[in-house]
Amino acid sequence: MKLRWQLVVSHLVSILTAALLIGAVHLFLLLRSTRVLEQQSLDASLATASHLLSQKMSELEGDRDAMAAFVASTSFTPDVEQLGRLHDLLALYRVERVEVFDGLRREAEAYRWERGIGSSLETPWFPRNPNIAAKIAAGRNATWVHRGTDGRASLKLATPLHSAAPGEHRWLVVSEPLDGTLLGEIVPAQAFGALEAGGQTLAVWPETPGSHQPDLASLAAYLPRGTFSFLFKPLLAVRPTLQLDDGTVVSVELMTSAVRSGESLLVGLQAWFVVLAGGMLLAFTLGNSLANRLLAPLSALLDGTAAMARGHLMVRLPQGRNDELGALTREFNRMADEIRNTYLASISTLAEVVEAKSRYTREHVERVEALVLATVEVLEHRGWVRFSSHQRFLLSVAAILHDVGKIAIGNEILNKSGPLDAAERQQILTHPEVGALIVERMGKLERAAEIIRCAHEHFDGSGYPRGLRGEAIPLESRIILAVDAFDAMTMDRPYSSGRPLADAVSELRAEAGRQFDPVVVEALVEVITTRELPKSAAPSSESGLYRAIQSGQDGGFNSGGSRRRGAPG
Amino acid sequence: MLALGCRDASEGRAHLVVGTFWAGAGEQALQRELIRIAHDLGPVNIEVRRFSASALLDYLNRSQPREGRQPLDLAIVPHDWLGQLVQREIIGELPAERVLVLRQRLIGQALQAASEGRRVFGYPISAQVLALVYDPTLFGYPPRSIEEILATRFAAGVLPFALDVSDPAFLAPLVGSFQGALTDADGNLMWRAATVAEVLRRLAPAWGTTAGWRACRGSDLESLQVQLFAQGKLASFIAGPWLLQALEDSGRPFAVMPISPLASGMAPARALVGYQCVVVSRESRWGDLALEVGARLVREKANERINHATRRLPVLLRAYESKQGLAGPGGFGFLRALEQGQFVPATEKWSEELAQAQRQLDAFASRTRPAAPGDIAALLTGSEP
Repeated sequence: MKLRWQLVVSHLVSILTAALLIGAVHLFLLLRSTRVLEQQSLDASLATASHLLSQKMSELEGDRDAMAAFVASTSFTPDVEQLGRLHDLLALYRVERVEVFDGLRREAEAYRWERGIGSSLETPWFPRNPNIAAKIAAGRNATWVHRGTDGRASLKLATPLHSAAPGEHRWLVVSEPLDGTLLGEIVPAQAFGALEAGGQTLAVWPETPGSHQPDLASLAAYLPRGTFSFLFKPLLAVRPTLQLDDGTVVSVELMTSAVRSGESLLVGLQAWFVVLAGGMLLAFTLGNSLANRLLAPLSALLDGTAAMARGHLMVRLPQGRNDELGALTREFNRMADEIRNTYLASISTLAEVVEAKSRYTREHVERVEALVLATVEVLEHRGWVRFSSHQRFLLSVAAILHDVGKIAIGNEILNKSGPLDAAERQQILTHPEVGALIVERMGKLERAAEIIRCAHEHFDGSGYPRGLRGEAIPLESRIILAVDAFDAMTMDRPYSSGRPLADAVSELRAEAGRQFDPVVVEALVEVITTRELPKSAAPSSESGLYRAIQSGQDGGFNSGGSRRRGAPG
Repeated sequence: MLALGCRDASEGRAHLVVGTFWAGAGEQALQRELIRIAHDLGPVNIEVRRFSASALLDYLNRSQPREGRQPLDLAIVPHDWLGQLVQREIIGELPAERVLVLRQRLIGQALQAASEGRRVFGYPISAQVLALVYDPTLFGYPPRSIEEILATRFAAGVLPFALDVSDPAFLAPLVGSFQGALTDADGNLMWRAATVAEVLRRLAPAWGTTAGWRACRGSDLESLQVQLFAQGKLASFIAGPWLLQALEDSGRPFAVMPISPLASGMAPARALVGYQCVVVSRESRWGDLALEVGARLVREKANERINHATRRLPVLLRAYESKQGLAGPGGFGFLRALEQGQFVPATEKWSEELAQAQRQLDAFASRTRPAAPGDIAALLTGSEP
């Protein structure tokens, strides 16, 4: 995997881990607080339900007492009219069942058809519970829970009837079935409820069809469902509500499904999703940005090293960091400088040998190099060519060493004033090849060697050593040929002065298309005619390689010559 | 994860409100079935709101958006309300595909009761019809006419017959029997004060005494009648199938048969058949869901459980084919009454005519003492003597 993706993935892993941890903690806290709130809400509902049951009990007590006042003075006979009046009381007070006892005899009863009917709701007289029996015998009100043979439970409220006749003992008992209908009135919507006493369930809401053993837990499967609510246990709450005279405590129990917890889970997951998505985006952005920051200098180093290996000696990387990568870049530049200096030293040595060997002066070499570079500038300005710093470097090397092959030619031939014979001429013709071989063997300068090899080829093919023509001759070689010829024409010799510039220009133009490339000639002419040409210095360049070699500098190729900072040309 | 990110928790939860005037076992059975349906449908809350019958009709009439009330999504209403609910654009027509299913499942008369032409406006879920409940131990054979019941000599203190004289539904079969038909050729209710007075006069042995008067009108009359019957003090009375459970719980033997005709009448006594229908409000936010809930209440098992709990008669063809849900004493008697009965057209005109009849009978029954037979007509017409 590339370093960039390693960095991005590393960031992704880190941020996603953090997001997962944050999300998990957030979800845990959210669910816990929702659960607490839900439980509190259920407790509040339970308090309401409990209050409603207590209120129902109070109403029943009030109804019982009111009905007792009505029937106290009535001695019931099996008369339809009297029974009708008792029924009117039932309807008036919304009581399900009322019974009147005279001593141990059931004197009268009335019940409503929907909930009050059934032998299991009949009040056994006296109740078996000793506390209740004692209270009734003592003429006090009593309340208790009665369970019929079929399991139906009912709440009994008894009161003595204070009739006028002395020695008469009559009681009125009001019954309220403890069933789903009662629970349905007190249980809030979306909750299931139960009444229990002494660990036994008396009734559930909603009632389980066909079951005589109601059980709230068995209804959990029918609780209203919400999103993800099935993942949570139903909420339960129990509250003792009625303390009856038989010692029974009737409790209200409520159960709801954890709908809010499920919804909170969904909300939490949504938030988590957003955090994860945001985290991924952030991780990618940060990772990519860091990768760019780290990889840019590494990339430059890689490119620089590769360029160096390909022979680009002018490589110099920009420095701007103070970290390890900055140090690495500095070391690379130092290494590149040393390699380059080694080459420059070799070139310098060769240049000095040529200078010592030939009759040309140092100024000639400097002028040729300067004019070559100036001609290139003109060509570039006209848009005909575009030279990289490395190409300029190689061009300078070639310009400096274009006659290095003359080392292998004897001085008597080089300095012969008269015409050369065929053998001498043949020897002279070998010097470009010899020069190219010398430069080639320096390594990394193959292109400069090729330029040198072709530096005496004529545009029309009449040159040597290979008789190349036109575009087959490297442009650099064509430039050097024209510039060398111009300098030779205009150079002052110890025994004669150089030709005037106008003559030289005429000569150049006359030979354009024959010896010289017309394009190069025109560029050179522009250099010659528009710039001042001192006898001992380059026309425009103040920083030629040759001068730099002599002065121990790098020739300006690295400080301003490179078009692409941090990368070879 | 994307789905999670795009769905809002609260928006995805439907909340349906069902209005009903069913109470007690009926309300519980409805609650139970709706809980089951909500459980099957997923994240749906179904809330049941109980009203009195008049309050439910009023709420339906007034719960239009302009009234600022939350409309009921569904309501359980008697089929004879459908006419006015449709006319006031409170309920909508059932989609054709749902009607197609109903045609395959329901008995024809039930669907007809909830229809106007080919348009169906509600899901009939149960039928109700009045029949004669009698104590077989007090009668040697099923009574052939009301007069025969009234002429039978019972032990002292035993009332021969009772009916709610304040309710047109109880008197209508006997009025129809007496005059030969309850409706004219155009289907209009024939409720003439003179005829009704004559029918009441013929029933006078039932209500003419102080005890009989109490057994034929008053608050919570059914409870009194059931108790009198259970105690052997009432030989027969007209009742609906919803009393079957109470009659069974009373421990008294009982039998059910179609209402006996008046011997002097010209036709059998055909009881009015009513259907309870689930209607869907046009204003419901969750119309499709409400339609689905209604459809599920007509499914076999749910419908059977509701009708078993409420002791109403089934409307599903399959229930009649299998005789399931009709078992138990009295079930077949009510079924026979249903077969002989005539359903109340769900038109507003009929509702108005029945309301008019109700007002007449209220005037007659509001007295604390039984009226003299000669005063009946005057009471019915409002010219109280």
